[in-house]
Amino acid sequence: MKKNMKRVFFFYSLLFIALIAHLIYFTIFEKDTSLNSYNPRLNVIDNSIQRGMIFDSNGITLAETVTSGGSIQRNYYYPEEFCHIIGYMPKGKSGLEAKSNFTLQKLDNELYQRIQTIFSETSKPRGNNIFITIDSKLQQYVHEKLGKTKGAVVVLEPQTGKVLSMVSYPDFNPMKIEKNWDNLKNDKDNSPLLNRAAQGLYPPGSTFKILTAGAEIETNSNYESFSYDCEGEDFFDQKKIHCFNSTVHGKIGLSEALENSCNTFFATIGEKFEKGVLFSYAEKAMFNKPFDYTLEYNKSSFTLSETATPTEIVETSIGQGKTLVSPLHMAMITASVANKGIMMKPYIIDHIESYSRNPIDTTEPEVLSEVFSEETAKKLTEMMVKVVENGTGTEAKIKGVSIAGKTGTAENSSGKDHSWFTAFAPSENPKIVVTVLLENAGNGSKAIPLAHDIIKKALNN
Amino acid sequence: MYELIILISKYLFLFYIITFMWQSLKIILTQKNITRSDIKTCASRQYIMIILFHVNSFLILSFNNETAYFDLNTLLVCFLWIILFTLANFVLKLTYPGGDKLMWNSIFFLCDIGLVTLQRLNPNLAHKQLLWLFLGFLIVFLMPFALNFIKDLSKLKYLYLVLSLIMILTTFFFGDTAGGAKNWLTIKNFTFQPSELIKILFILYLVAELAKPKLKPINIIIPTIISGFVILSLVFQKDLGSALIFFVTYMVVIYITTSSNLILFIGVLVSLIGSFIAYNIFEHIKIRISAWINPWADIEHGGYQITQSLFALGTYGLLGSGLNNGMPSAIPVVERDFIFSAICEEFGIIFAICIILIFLTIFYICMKTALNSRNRYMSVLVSALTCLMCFQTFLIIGGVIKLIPMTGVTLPFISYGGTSMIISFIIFGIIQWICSLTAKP
Repeated sequence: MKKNMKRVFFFYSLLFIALIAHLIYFTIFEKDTSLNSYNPRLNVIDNSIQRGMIFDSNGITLAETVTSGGSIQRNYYYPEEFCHIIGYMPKGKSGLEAKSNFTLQKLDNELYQRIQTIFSETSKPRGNNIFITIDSKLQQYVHEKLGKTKGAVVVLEPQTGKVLSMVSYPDFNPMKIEKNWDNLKNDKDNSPLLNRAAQGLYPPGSTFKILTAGAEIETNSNYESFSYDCEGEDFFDQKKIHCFNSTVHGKIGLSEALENSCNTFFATIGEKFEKGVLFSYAEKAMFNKPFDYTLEYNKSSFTLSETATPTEIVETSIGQGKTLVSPLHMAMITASVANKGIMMKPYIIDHIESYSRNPIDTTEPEVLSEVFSEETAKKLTEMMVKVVENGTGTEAKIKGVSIAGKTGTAENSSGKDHSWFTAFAPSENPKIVVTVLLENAGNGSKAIPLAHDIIKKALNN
Repeated sequence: MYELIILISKYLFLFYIITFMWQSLKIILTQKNITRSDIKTCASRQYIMIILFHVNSFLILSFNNETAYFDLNTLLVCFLWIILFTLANFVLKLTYPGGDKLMWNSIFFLCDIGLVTLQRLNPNLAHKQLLWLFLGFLIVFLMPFALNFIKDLSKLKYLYLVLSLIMILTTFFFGDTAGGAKNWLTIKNFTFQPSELIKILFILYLVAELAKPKLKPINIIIPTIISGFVILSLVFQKDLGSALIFFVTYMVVIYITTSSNLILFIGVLVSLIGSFIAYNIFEHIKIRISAWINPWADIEHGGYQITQSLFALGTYGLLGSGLNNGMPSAIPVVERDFIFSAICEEFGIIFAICIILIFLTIFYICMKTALNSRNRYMSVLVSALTCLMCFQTFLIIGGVIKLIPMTGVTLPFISYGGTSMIISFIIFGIIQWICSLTAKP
């Protein structure tokens, strides 16, 4: 009987230990669940402290809290340009205001600051400041260039994954968030609160051919001698695939096919792949996978299963089918070509400083995935340079700079085609990656001039 | 300045509770003959820690930062509790000569944490709670006279049975509904929860039947039928938390007394089938379960309580917001079911973990008492009462931190509630009395 009692007590002790373990686990790993607009505490703290500031990469103030005449206000100095990055408050919180809320509210050296505030009537203890990776001049330029076109632009540094610019339109003004809240919230057609650059998912169109071509180079040792006679259209298991405007490309190899974005060629090699090859490359390129990005984002999806029909395989290898990708992710794929096949984790917070400018934390670049071998990346770069030199992307040409790019026209159910252009420059020593997506703009060439201007501006800085 | 004091107090509170637990550990190790500390010194250090905690928190709570005055009413509550605790500290050893000092200290510390939290949340309730504390203390102080007179508690088993049946039936016919459960009785201005009283009566009866040395099948079947009836009637009053506690306690008693793995297996089976049926019959159980699986899906309605509780836990982390700095009032029924979340929010998670450890200390002492007792009936009785409180504590803490689905039961000694407070005192009074008897040479 006493043995049973001991057993029972042992069992209950386990239950109590489970309670403690869960509490510790929750506070350490699930703390972010508190960053929710239904949590009334988040705003209350902002009234008792001086919320941290947000700066651009050159130390220019982007957001700060000012108290004037007893009322507390969050000022945004580039409200529309940075609305999807910094976000808004106090109507709930979004963007960095939400995701880095605890950083902005965290008081460094709290005891000292509290003592200090006793002696000065007006000041409040100050939270930590965030420095982001974006240069506000470039951001302004990109924002102005995108103008009133629905779409998104992402600029990355390929070697580190630094986000250099990220713009999405339609946008909103966070300074007027309270006034316009109902309109913004209910505008389902434009969804201005959505950050299209990271949250918008679109069919990749021909930009996906970068991945198909990479897979071909690595899995087919004779890829250079393989050629195909393009007649402008062809049947693949009863599915008719035709090239853009049904252009006849004639007898071509992989390089020319990418240059001219020949659909029938890519459909042919897509059909030849062994089962699972394309899927494994998509996974290497981080499709269907989370990549722990600071801001809100949606995972890109690639759904070619083992039992996929030939039609699905063919459509997927030319970037149609069910594949969906965000502009940010397309920029990451392009950056992996630019960075010797290695995909870096994108990041937007450069470093964090305390109120007294003491460093608190600095983001170190991190490798996310090895998508291609260095050799393959080199081959792909050569091919993508030809796209801009003689192929579908000639409008992107800049004198004296070698640009590698790929156009894309994404058929979709919402109306006219989406227009993609993704590129990096200079091709021999890549400094930036630019990805442009314009919603329902017609064909791929619409996005090119915009990318051209941005590359020019970014390289001149 | 006020903010600064709150900030410093945050660390002081941790110091008090950790010192308290350090002394607990020393006492336990000394009792096990592993170390040699003076138990009396340790216990009086604990007394000092409780008083410091109490005065510190009440000074913060009574100070009005705008007018820069101390609120006299609050200071009075502070003072009255010190009297109560000091009195208890000296007189309880008169009626419980062999009682466990560490257990008394732990219980009163929990009571004090509850009182402070209530004063913070709702001063009116704190005043009432103080009254309940006095009443509970008085009952517990006088109880041994009655217990010593009865001596063999098992001989009154039919009285317990009849009383608990009367309680159940009256709630069934005259009960009031609160929080979805029909488990309150109102007599003039006085409301109480009969299920709390049934807890003790039922266990006294059950143990009297099952602790007999030679159990025949009939001795098991009759209490089983009666237990089934009690549990089912609680289920139909929608008081599922109590029903679950009763069921688990019944299983524990029967496992301890019969050592039968078969019965344990049947019990698990019955509970699985029972929960499946209950899930399909009762709408509010479905809501609770889906609020547990994904509270974020229905954050405005079904998931509201639990998400607000999680916000309280998560926003301020290990050290808490500091007393008076959080927003515990945003959590529904924070004075009763969700009081643990309020403590997590303002005192921090480390403090909350210490509270769980204090509960564990209390249950450890109880179990030790059960194992030491040479009287079979008393030994089983202590383990049954302990398991009851233990499981109740687990249910409510696990519920508010979303380890398990939420069931509305009170956190012993901390939640607001007169019935719960007095019954908890009586339960530990019985345990201390048995402890006292065992300790006698």
